[in-house]
Amino acid sequence: MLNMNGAIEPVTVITTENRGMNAEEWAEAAVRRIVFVSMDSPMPIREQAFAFREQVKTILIHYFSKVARSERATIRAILEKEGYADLAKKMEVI
Amino acid sequence: MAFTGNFMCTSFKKELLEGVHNFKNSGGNTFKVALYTNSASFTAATTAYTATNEVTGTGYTAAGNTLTRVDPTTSGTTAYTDFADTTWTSSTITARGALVFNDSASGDPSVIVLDFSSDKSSSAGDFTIAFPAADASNAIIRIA
Repeated sequence: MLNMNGAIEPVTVITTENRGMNAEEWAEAAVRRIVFVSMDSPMPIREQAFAFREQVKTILIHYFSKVARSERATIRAILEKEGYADLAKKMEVI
Repeated sequence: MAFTGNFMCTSFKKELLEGVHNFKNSGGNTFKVALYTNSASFTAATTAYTATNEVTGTGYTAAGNTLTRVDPTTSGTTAYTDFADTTWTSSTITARGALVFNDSASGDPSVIVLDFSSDKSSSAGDFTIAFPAADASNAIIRIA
């Protein structure tokens, strides 16, 4: 028997104004996919899972920030090479 | 005329039994997610993509984004599949909900209706849909 009740879990929508998503926002989205904590699980296990999720999130924020900085460094290098020194300098303050 | 919740389209359930949809990562169909205003009135009875009441705005093109499929898998007695999160970058959009549909199949048949609960807006920024965790209890499309 195919038992398909069709229940759809809600999606999360993340929006920003005048900027892209930052490392913290991407890390939150990523960690939700990596570690799911069931509200039905016993409290000690749930607390341990939440602690682990926070640890993973901290690591993700750290590396996502590094990726963003590396990307800006690459863009800056390209701009400088192409003769846009002023624009390249602005990349430093973003 | 408004979104009234999340739905798996009834026509989709029938089409699964007819072999219309293929969610495999390699060689599967193209699934897209389109955004809509709250003037749209999608329910489980929705059968196909429509451009009526679809959002317009900077960074958005009609019929929306192509979704990255995740291979269907099983856990216990539940089979499920998933999509990667999708983003409209540098966009200015206001949407109340979305429709996932099969862009490969004839007639662009609908799969699921997503209700965001309230209007969500991006302004010269990112508009991201993050799908629930891919497991037997939460994955966006599950057969138990």
